[in-house]
Amino acid sequence: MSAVKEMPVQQTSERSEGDSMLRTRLLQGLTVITMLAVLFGAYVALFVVGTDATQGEVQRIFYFHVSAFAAAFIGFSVGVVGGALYLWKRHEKWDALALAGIEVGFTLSLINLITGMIWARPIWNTWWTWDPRLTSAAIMCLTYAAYLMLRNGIENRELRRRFASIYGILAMSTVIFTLIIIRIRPDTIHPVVIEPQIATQGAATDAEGSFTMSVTISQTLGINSFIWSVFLPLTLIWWRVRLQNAAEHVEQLKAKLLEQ
Amino acid sequence: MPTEGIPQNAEYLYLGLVVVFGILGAYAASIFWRFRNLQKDQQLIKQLQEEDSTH
Repeated sequence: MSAVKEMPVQQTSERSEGDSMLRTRLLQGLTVITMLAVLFGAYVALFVVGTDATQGEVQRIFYFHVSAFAAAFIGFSVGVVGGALYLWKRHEKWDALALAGIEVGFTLSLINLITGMIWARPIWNTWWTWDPRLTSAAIMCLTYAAYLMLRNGIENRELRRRFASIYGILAMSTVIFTLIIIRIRPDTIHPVVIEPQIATQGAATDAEGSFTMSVTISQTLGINSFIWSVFLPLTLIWWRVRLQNAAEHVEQLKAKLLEQ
Repeated sequence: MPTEGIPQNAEYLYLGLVVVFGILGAYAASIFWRFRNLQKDQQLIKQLQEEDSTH
């Protein structure tokens, strides 16, 4: 971890060294807590809650699949907040926050997508089908992958930040669409497991692989979703913001060197 | 606990766990390596600045 520790996060004129050290310690502590919390959630999902009688062991993927989407949603929401604040304040720190949120959200949405495919193989007898929910989730992932690629393709920093902010805000529509599609489209086979009564009449009638949410399943999902959507995005986004700050600092040093 | 009738598909769960912790680990590792690369860049810049000042 020496590389992480030694890297200056901000110029010392802006923030005292002691303050920076304290933040590093806090982040390191939070990282340890997050790792332990994720492992605890996994332990509950794998060893405490019982095996589903109709789906078997593979049903346990559900705890990670849903939690990953909840965490990705938080990441993408941070992207929207950071983007909106950048457009308002025009301070680069908000762009760094937006980038961090979206990169973390994208990583977690990949977990959501791939675990869904793995669950589908034994339950739906296929890895992939062009179902409305699966298609919208794939579009969501591709939209954010494009964000990460496109922002690196713009040389002008100010233009890049403005473009990324607007793109990040608009891209959130794919997340909301993915979230609600199983409740409004009757032809999706993706089950509505959480509060299915909210689904409109006739929606998800073709659902395959649904199961009843018992108290222990609800509690296990609650524990995992809480850990994944609070601790994990907070820790990863904090690290990613620090990385971005460090990258900006090195860019400034490079620019100074070229000026000499 | 009776397991009769319960589908035997634990291998898919293991695959899922590999994906979950593999992606999380890979992302954490990518952050670490990017920090290391930045640190190397910074050291190189310092070295170049020192060389520049001695000439």
